[in-house]
This record gives sequence, C-alpha cells and structure tokens, in this order.
Amino acid sequence: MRDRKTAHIPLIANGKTPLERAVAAKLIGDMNLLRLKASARFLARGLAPDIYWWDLLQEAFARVLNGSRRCPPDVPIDVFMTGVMRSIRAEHWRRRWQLEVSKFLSGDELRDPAPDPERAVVAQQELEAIKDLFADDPIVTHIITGLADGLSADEIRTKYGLSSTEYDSARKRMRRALLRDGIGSKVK
Amino acid sequence: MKKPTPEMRLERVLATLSEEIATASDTEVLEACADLRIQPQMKGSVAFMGVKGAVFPYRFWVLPESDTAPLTDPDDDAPDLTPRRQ
Repeated sequence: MRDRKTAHIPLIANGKTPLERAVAAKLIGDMNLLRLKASARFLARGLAPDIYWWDLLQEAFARVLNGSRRCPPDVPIDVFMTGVMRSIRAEHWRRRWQLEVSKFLSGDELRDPAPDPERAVVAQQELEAIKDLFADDPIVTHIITGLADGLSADEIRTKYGLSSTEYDSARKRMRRALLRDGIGSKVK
Repeated sequence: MKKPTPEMRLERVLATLSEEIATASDTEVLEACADLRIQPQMKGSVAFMGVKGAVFPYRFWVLPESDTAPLTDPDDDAPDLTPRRQ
C-alpha cells in the first residue's frame, strides 16, 4: 500500500490538480464551478488557518477521481460534490479535536471521549457567525434557527407565523446572499 | 426529547444551506454575480478566482482520508519542500 504522502501524487501528474482534471474532462462547467466555489467557501467557515475552501474542493475532486466516492446517476453533480465536501469537513473537524484531546487522553478514553465543552462553544460560535450574515433579515434568521432546531419547513412556518410566500422569498434571499458571499473576490 | 448539541445544530445548518447553494439555478448564480458587479462571461473574470485559470493548489496532505490516516498534526505531515543541497 502506498503511504498517504504519495497516494495522491498521480492526481497532480502533468501539473494538473484534481479540479483542473475534472474541468478538462468536462465533468463540470462554469456554472457548476461557481456553485461549488460558493459551497466550498461556506463549508470552510471556521476551518482556517489549517484548511482553506480550495482544500475542500480539491480534495473532494481527488476522491471522486481516485474512485473512493462515486456519484449516483440520479444525483446532480453539485449536490453530490457538496455532500463530499461536507463529509470531508466533518472528518477534519473530528480529527482536529481528536488530535487536541489526544494530548490529554489515551486508550479507551481517546476512543470514546466525553463531550468536549470547548468544541461545543466553537460550534455555537460558528452557528452565530452564520446567523450574523443575515443579521438584517429576521425571517432568514428565524429559518436558520428553525433548521438548527431540526424543524421542517412547515414547522418553521408555523412557529414563526410565516406564509409560504414569505418563507420561499426568504429562502431565495438566503441563497442569493450565500452565493454572493461565496463567489465574491476575497481569497480566503 | 434529548436536546441537540451545538455541533448537531451546526451540522444541520451546514447541510441545509450548502445544499441550497448547490441547488441554486444558473439564473440565481448570475443574479448574485450581477449584485457583485462581476461578469462571469468575461475571460479571466474574478468570479473564477481559484477555480479556473489560476487554480489554487491541491495540498493533498492536509485532508487525508480517515481510514488510512494516522492521527498527526497536519503541519507535521506536510512534505519537505526545502531545496536539497547538492
């Protein structure tokens, strides 16, 4: 078995990154690129300075190109790639905290660590940072709170007294703001 | 009912909102670009910074696949890129 430092090297053969290879193979077009850039930037929130959005995007394409992730034929490529990035983010999040607790725990304690209050605080801060993106839009803030609470669209509408039109318009504003935030010119 | 942890709450929001982005229509993407006064149709458009043209690098050592990856600090695992002495 190749070690992890060399396992991906064929994916950057000829100087091309996994993303460039996917574009060259016409797996994705320009609009896909913009959606995936926006998804990657959203999902990379809170991961800097270790990980940047392009790390998520490149790694997701690497895993598709090396065959470890396969897109089902009935799933749109953007939805699938976003799911892969989300899972890579979750892996990294777990690994990062495992690395932290490994400095203090060992053996069984490390395999099943108790809930970490600091990790919970960081997650809460991230959630608040997402809500802050929509601080001037109370309906969107309600929707995000409802999603965090695990409510369905109907439950969110009922809880906050929103009509279908208000709910759908707020979702559209939310999508557009997330796209703006993700496509904008900031590097990190 | 057990109260969800902040991590579960965050994961739910990340899952739903990232899917919202992934399912946005081409029209919505172009509207967002127009809001930013970016023209993605132009060659070298800033919209594609990092993903087309000058593509940001693939740092294959920072996000290893979990089933094979040992528990190490990502910085410790970076390849040695220092020039070799002749």
